[in-house]
Amino acid sequence: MKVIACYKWVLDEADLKVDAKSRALLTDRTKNKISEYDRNAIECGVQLTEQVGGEVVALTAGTANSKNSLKDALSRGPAQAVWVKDELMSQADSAVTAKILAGAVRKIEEFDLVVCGEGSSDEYAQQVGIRMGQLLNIPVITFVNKVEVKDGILRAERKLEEGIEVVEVKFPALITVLPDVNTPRIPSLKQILGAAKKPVQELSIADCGLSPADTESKVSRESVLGTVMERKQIRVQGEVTEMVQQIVDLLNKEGLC
Amino acid sequence: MEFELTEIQSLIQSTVKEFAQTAVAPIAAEIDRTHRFPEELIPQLAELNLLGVPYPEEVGGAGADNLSYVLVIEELARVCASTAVIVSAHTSLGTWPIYQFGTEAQKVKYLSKLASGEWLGAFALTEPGAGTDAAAGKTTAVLEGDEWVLNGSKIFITNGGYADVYVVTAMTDPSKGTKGISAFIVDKDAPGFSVGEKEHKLGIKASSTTPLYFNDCRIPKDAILGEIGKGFKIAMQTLDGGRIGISAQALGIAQGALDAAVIYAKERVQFGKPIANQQAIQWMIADMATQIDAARFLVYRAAWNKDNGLPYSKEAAMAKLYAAETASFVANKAIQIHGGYGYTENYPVERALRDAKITEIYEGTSEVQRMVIAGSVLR
Amino acid sequence: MSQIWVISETQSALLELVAHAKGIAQGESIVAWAFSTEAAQAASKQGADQVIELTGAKRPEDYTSAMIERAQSEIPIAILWGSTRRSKEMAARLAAALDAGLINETFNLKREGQSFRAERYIYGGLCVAREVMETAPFMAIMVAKTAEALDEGAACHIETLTNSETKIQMIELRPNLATSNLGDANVVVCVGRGIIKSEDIELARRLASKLGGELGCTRPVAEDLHWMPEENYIGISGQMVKPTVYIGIGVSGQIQHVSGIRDSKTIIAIEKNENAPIIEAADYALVGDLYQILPALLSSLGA
Repeated sequence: MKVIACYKWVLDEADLKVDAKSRALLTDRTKNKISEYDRNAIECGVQLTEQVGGEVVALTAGTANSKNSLKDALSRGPAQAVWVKDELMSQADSAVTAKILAGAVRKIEEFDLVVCGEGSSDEYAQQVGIRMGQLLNIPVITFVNKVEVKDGILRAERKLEEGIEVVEVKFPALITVLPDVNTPRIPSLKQILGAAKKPVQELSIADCGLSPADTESKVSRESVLGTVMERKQIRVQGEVTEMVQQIVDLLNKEGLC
Repeated sequence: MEFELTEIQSLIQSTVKEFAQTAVAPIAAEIDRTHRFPEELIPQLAELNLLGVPYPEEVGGAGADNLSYVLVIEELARVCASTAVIVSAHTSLGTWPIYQFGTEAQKVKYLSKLASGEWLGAFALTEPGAGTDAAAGKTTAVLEGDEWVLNGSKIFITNGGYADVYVVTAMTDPSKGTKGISAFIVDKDAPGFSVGEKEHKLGIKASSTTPLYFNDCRIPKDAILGEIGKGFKIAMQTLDGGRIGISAQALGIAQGALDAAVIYAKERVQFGKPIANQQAIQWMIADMATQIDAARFLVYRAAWNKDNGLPYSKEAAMAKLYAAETASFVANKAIQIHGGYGYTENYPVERALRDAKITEIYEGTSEVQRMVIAGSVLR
Repeated sequence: MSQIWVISETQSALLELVAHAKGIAQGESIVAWAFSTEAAQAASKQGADQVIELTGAKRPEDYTSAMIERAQSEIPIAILWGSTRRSKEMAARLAAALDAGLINETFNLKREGQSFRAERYIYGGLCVAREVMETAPFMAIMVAKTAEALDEGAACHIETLTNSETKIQMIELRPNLATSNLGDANVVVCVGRGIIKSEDIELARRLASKLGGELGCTRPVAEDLHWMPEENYIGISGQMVKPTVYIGIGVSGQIQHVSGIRDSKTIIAIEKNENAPIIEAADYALVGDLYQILPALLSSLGA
């Protein structure tokens, strides 16, 4: 079975800071990482191939900086990596990203399954994977928290608001996975060192079959500002009885007791 | 000259950091408080190839370099100095002598089990009467037919009671001074060998530190490690590498303490603002961070020298001396920044101070390091 | 005539979307896509100019091709969706087929001629991004409960559509046994890691009950400790709540959780660590031991 696991190289949100006065986002000392849900996607692909045989191809699209993601991805189990390199990825919206990745998937050929995270940890637009499925004209199963493959059929459980929907589909197909689908294993040192020896293929946007018109984002970002929570920030002081009295007064005012 | 880690080294660092945070940090306080050796971590460490980091894959190791090994120890020590020394003692002291001086047969028997982490190793040089004066050991080894018979005792042995195999030094010829000492490989179930009670220590409480007793302990003739009379040299060379591991441990302890102090300083509000806004605190943080980085480059440089086939004895001594003293300095300041809270067990900095102290003592006291450095510089 | 489409397989969301659409319509006809007769009738009376009732398929997603076909011929100027998972899938598929932009979980929707602007949270709630789209169709997934259903009026025409198509076989749907009313609750009491053992959650439960509210928790309490079901966790990737009063008990206030409670009218926190982020995120912060404060509060309320 050939599985393509897609991932995004994102800013590590732990490093992000917001300037208190200007509300500007400060990214000068940030590091990158593979987006959390994409780690689940890679792990999902790897576990499936461990069960039924086959291999995983890690796929990403990004600026030149994404080169640093390849060994990280490869250390998690994929046999090879493919990446599409272009500076426009710093501005690309979901529509463009999906077209690029779908083009790369077509170049990889003869795949059975594409696995994506349900969304990226930075943008959480929750759509790139789904768009890819539509563009590739393959069935899409979203919000999967359990998946298995048997005799060429994929059975998945989708976690929806109303309950669990169990579905089956034949390959080729695309799934987007939730973080509870698995717990990604920590790579061993041998896996990390082995990553350096695995093949990597670099593609351009042109290689993916995109025309210049295809690379125009439909959604553009006008501004990014730190969220402001304007709260009273009143510290209730005193003995327990005094504090409790103040809460009860508050609740009374709202007509709750 | 590059001051950045390679991609693979960075990846190793971030991976071990994640392991340290998810598997080690949650138990660090508890194993310190209960003096419990974290047995459950050993198979996890082995699975990630963290118990044979600098040994080639062919012998069961990870096949990484010494700088990577330093990064592993540092990241572990950042959250738990005990776990770090368990790994360091096993890797640098327990495994290295067999890797470097073992016969083919010995390597076949021991090396892959040690480097893969299936077995844990330890090293026994120190005796009640022989600490810094390491050559003054009184444990003897006498050849009787097909066996060596060892008599005597060792003290303060890291991983004592949990190791599967011990590299032990003993006197084979008292008349020859340091040239009368040899090294031996002793299996844990060797007849006449026993492990004493764990020491109750100030710090690294989860690390098991025990005496070893040899009462007519019989080991096979071919259990001698290296040539007869070369044991002292083997021990000294082993300690050179061990120093790199300990300096990484000290570095990690210091970094962990600084990390905690920075978080606390930003959150603790006094006089209406975080104490991080106070110059007194800022200057402490600046001094701590600078000394840590200075220590860092000494440690990395020692590892780099070893990786590149350059002499590293003086460099390792400098790294250990400086990193150890930095760890104590930083831990002390970290508690100061935490104020009263830092003195309680609710914050990790008191443990950092207790753990830091030993790095100035074991595997060669700071005084010994100074001797080594001076000896090299004044040659 | 130009159209604005609103699509949701949930009736309540559909009616909210009609209201959103009214807010941005500049002469366009509002076409509501309903997935049940009841929803179709409600939408037809509550603001829609046209209603399409989808019937016959096993799963809502199976109508996606039919939507694509219709969209390619009608070319609506905008399509608004509710924020359910099924809708997110349908929306993204439509967006790909129409080569359109799609903005997820958005609020503050504004229109200027053919330009549409909306805001959304990124980086786990740390920042607000303002996005703009200038090519049709404008597609957005609207945050739930940010508009009120319109009043009833005369019913419009309902067209039935039965095309559906899928390669996916539905085996079964296992409905949730536990349902959470947190999203609608007027009072929310939330427990965090300050709670030492799961039995102590009972205290919070009593408080919620006394105040006629719902009990929720932070993510670690559900996902790591498994002391409460996942449906009860409040945060950016869990339940979003907008009660009149939110009371956090032993909640430290990580950004992902705070994002889930930011629309609360009044936030009260009981937390012993004065440096916890919740203190800055609250209207009233009681810095103290919940094991002293909570029992006293319950006793004061007669709970």
